[in-house]
Amino acid sequence: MNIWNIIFGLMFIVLLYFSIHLIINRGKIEVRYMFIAVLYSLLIGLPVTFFSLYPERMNLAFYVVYYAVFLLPVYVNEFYNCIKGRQEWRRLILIFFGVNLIILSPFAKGGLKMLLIVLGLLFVSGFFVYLFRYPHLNPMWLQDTAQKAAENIEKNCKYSSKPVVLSIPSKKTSCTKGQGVTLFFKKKNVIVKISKDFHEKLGKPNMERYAEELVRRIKNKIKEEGEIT
Amino acid sequence: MIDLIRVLGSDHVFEIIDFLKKNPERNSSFIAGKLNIHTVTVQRVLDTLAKYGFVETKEKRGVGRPSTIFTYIGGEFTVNLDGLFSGYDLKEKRIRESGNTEVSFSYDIDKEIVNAILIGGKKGKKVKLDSRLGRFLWLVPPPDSCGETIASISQKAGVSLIDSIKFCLEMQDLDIVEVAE
Repeated sequence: MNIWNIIFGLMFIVLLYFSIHLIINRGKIEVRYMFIAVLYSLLIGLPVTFFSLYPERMNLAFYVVYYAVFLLPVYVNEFYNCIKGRQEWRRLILIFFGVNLIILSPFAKGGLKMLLIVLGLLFVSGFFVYLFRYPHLNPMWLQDTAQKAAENIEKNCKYSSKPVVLSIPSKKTSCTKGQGVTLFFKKKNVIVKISKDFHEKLGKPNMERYAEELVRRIKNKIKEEGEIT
Repeated sequence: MIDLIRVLGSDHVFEIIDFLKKNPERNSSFIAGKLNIHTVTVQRVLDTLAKYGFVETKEKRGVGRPSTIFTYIGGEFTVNLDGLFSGYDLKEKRIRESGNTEVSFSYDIDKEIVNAILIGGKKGKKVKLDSRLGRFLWLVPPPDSCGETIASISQKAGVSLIDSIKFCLEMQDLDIVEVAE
């Protein structure tokens, strides 16, 4: 395998990932988030690709420690959110099996190896479909919607560090942290936390009206997709 | 004042006072043990009586943590009904946060309660709240909103109306809550 194969391979992966996010985010791409997402995906994807191509160079200790360092914080965070009832277990299951089946593939041979990769990709695809169905779970879409929601809201209002609680019930619980805005959809209500910097960046909108408008836009978008809110 | 009236109306207050009159300089756990009443109940009664000067407190040092001992003094108290009901007309008023820039909140997003109010930054004053009042404050609408009536919030939070009004008056004094126009 020469250097061009590697470069084209990497470019293909980046372009594929970029395209997937372009679809999931309905064309809204935030460079900062995209950079982090691509970088993290490459960090996860490169060792498994390398050891799949060169199984004789497999260093088990390095492999285990590397993935423990990069994946454990994500799993712990997702698990914590599930236990606290902030999000559905489906999300953790899709991520956990999707990633783990793929990173286990270098240890298998022949048909089993392919089976693990295909199954892993199915779970990862399921995760992307899940993100597409519920766009507010994606920080990039949420960030864009959060900025647009402030457009027609009364400005130069006061700020409070306490989150806004709206008595709007949701059938599915979720938790999304964007840059400056955090959303908790709970069974009985929706909690919207806005940071002070983000509030100023939006022109100091009326917090209650803003939170209502943001949630209204999200609920409408999910209804448009024909999903349960 | 309402705390004293409540304590005087409670079941065990006469038993506790009678015991303390006959046995001065005793701590709450000793009294609770002798009367077979929960220590927290005895402590609440004695703390309230001490607040209004009917009982004298002293700190007793010995092995382990120092304990507070109580001695009955007695006395009289005038009930000012005008003062007691002065804030009651607030119950139908809509309240909201005032948006004081000096104030921030420490809260638990899962339990949906405010744990403490920080006034003047991290090195400033910290007002800790119990879970009931923390829940009440959590439900107070944000600044510049239409607000919500105290009666409605107190019902949602499970706090008695008179306690909610008293709490709102305290929060108004601290410029944390305001009556919406």
